[in-house]
Amino acid sequence: MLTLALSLFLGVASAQSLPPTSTDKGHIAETRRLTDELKDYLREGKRSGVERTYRTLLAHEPRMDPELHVIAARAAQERGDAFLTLARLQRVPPGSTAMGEMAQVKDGLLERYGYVRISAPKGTEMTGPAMFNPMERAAIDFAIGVVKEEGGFLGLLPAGDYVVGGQPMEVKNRMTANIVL
Amino acid sequence: MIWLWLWLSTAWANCTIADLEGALDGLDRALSADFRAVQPATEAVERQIKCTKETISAMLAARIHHTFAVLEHRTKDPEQAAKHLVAAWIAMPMSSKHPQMPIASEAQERFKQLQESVLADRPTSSLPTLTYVDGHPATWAVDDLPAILQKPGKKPKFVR
Repeated sequence: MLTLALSLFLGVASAQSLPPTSTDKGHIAETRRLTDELKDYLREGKRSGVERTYRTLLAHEPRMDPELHVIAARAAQERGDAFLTLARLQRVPPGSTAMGEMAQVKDGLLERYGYVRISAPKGTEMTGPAMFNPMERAAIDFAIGVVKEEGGFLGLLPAGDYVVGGQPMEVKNRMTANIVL
Repeated sequence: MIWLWLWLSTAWANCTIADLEGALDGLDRALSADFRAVQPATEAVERQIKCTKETISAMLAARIHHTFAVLEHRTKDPEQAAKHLVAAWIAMPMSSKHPQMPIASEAQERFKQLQESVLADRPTSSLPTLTYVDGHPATWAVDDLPAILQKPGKKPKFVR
């Protein structure tokens, strides 16, 4: 296992609020339609719909309402994809009121998680530390699923002791952990 | 003056990581001050990447990608600039952005879109042997992204 200090862990700057990429009426109308669709999925509790529409909207208009990044981040968080959660939260302009309680989630990802890269054969079994925090538990379960299904994993995991294909892997706060089987 | 410095640094370079970092410092200076020096400074960095046998760290790989993102942005290739930004983020997610990369740019918008695709779809390919991919030992690499690939003890390849 290789660990590297992430000395600039908090050095990520986000973009300021910016105007839309196009003022074309059709473009703005499509942005509005996708925004409404995403919020409808949110009201209906359809997480996969939220994420699918968010991706379509991001491809159409990356300078969207910051609230939508937060909604999509929450959907990724519920699935346990901590890395995608962080990426989406980093798209929220600094100081945006849309961030709400997700600011604490972002801080938690930056402070209590490590950056993990795994190279293993498909079907590899992985275990992680017992976590009572549902977000942390979900992140571990997500990684276990990806490693089993795909072998390779790239993402954030809560600090703790893991076993990947019988090999120990220690994940430390704000550090990088690599394991190759 | 920068020309002379570049010539001297290249002539006496010893293919160490320190030499590579020095070449990157020179490129950073050229990017911020002397447009004419950018091309030779870029070539100096590329030579240093190709000749070192020391392992390039993830932090250094991220710095290289951030710098090349600025170069691609300046040559009006936002797609390639965005690919370097994603590669930098994946090499070291918390690395500092390059001061010469504007926040509001097409490259930054493409970066968000590409980053989302890479994280959500996880497009990867297997590597035949253990390789340091942007400083991380691995047997796979993310598809269609620039990367510094280095087999243990060997000189790197800068795939772009």
